[in-house]
Amino acid sequence: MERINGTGRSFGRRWRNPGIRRLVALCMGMAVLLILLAWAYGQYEGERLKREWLARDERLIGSLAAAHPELVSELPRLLVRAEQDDPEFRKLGQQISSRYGLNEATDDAIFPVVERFRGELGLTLGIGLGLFMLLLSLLLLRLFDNPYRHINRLAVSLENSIKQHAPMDKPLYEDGELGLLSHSVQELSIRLQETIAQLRREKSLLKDTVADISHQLKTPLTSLAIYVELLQDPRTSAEDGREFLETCRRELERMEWLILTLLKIARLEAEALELAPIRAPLQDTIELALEPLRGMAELRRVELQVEEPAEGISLAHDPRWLSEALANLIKNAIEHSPVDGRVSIRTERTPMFAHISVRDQGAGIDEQHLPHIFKKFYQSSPAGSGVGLGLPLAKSIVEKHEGHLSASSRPGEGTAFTVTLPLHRPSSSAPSLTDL
Amino acid sequence: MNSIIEIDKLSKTYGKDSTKVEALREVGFDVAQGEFVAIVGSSGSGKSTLLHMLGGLDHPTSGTVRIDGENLYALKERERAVFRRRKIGFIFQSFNLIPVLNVEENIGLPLLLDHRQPDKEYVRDLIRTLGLEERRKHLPSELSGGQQQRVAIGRALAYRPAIVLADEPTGNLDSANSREVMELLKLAVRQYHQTVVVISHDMNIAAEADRVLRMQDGRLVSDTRGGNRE
Repeated sequence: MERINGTGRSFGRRWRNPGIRRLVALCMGMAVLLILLAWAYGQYEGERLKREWLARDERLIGSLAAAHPELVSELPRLLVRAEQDDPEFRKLGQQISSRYGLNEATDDAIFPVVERFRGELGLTLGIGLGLFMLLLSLLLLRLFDNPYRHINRLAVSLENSIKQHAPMDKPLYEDGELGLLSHSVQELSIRLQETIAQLRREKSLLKDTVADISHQLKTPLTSLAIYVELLQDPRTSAEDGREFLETCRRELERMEWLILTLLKIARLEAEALELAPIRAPLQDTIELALEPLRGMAELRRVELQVEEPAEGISLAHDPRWLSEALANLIKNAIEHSPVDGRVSIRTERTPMFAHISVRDQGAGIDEQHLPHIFKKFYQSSPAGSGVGLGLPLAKSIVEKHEGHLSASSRPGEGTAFTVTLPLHRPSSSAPSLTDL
Repeated sequence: MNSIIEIDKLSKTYGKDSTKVEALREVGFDVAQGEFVAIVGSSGSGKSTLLHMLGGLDHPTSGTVRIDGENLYALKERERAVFRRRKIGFIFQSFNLIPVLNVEENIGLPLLLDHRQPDKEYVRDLIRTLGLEERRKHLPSELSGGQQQRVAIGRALAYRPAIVLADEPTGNLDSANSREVMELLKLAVRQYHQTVVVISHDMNIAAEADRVLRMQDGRLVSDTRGGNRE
């Protein structure tokens, strides 16, 4: 049906995944945290260095002042604003210092401030960054694990669904790829269930059909056997024999009709039959259905009235089958009409459907029978000549055309059957839910 | 057949004390898959509230709503939104189409929201079935009311939701278009095994359904199965 868009992994599409959103949020948060921590640590270390530096300077000033009291006013200036002094002073100092072995190669142990700074910086940065990375990886792991947890849950629920023959429970209702995967998997499991249910329905249908056939055919077969036996009896008179033969012929005709109709319904319902739809005027099909019934209508003095829109309706259908469905409806209406009654066959077109209604002026169908009239072998009144197969057959044919057949009736006001057929049927018949 | 909608002791109360209104009082029923159900009742009978509860649009005061086995109100808000998008199709009295999108785009909208590319063939088939082929590039404002409602039906069917909820779908339409919309919904039930719940105050509309639930003063007063199907 719908296709999950395989190409074009756009930013927006990625952004819909909650995992991606969480990952971005985590990385941003951790980056901000790292910046803040580094800044705070820099501040702290600077402050500490300043204090130690000050302590060293103070000791220097103290010891120099004790040795040379005349320099007291000069000393702090010297130590604080050293950059503004003549560069020559530094060269002189360097010469004096290196004479006593104080230069860049000197061991840190000589400078406790530097030694402590270096040691602490290394340790703190090492441990701090290590811990930070550990925390980050733990959080990332959790984030990373999330999809796997969902996939695991999906797998477990899919397994349960297979074991219990039930649709999947607890899918993931989430945006993004995982949510879509979960949805598709659930859809698949639902369709599988539907297919299984349909197969079961078809099987029970077949069972019912077999039962119907055997039940409906046994009775006439039994009576045929009796008549044949009677005919074989030499005591049967020629006149009786002719009458028995006539009865046999009627029974055989009835049986033939029964078997043919049952086979048609079975083939329609078991989807073993394909319609051959052609685009043809609906009116021609109605004429085709009316033709063999005109004699019967005349015999019963029932008027057949056909109403159609002036422009006519043309739609894709199988004229042979649809006319059979209509013929069954019209025959049913004629049979239930009073003498001098009227059966009106009206076609009507709306933007999307064609409606064909067959209305009689008979006694109507009692409300209690209405829900059952499309069931096979259901007879609501003795008026009908058939065995209760005409309406189910008509219904099967109409549904095969992706339309539907409905009945409305009020006792005393007659019955109307309405066939509704879609005008715009997709050329390739729309895949049903159970098409895998 | 398994139930696709299970409602148990659903109650909804608005306001408090003296201004208290009991919109729903312990309503409970099941709907089987593929059923076409109409909920009828006068205005104020609680039928709209009930439909909103079914669609996860409002919170019940007590009771549960299960759709396809999922307890709707046990889901988180965000999960419910996704659930709604994938499992429930809505059709409203006022169509609620996006005015700047054309027919095709409006129908494909639920899929686009999920960043899924609507299958062109499926959408074309759907548009054909809806009789909108010549208008697929038109904007909603260029369509008649009946056509707009057909677009809304197409949109509700695009994700092939488990259930379709229609709130007075024919309220703004004349009788010919109303009948059309109902026929279309019936076709959907048959063709796609969908379950449709329609609320209406029009008994002629309700008569088309397999089953009619009648609401009165927040209670379910009758549950009758119609005669159109076996």
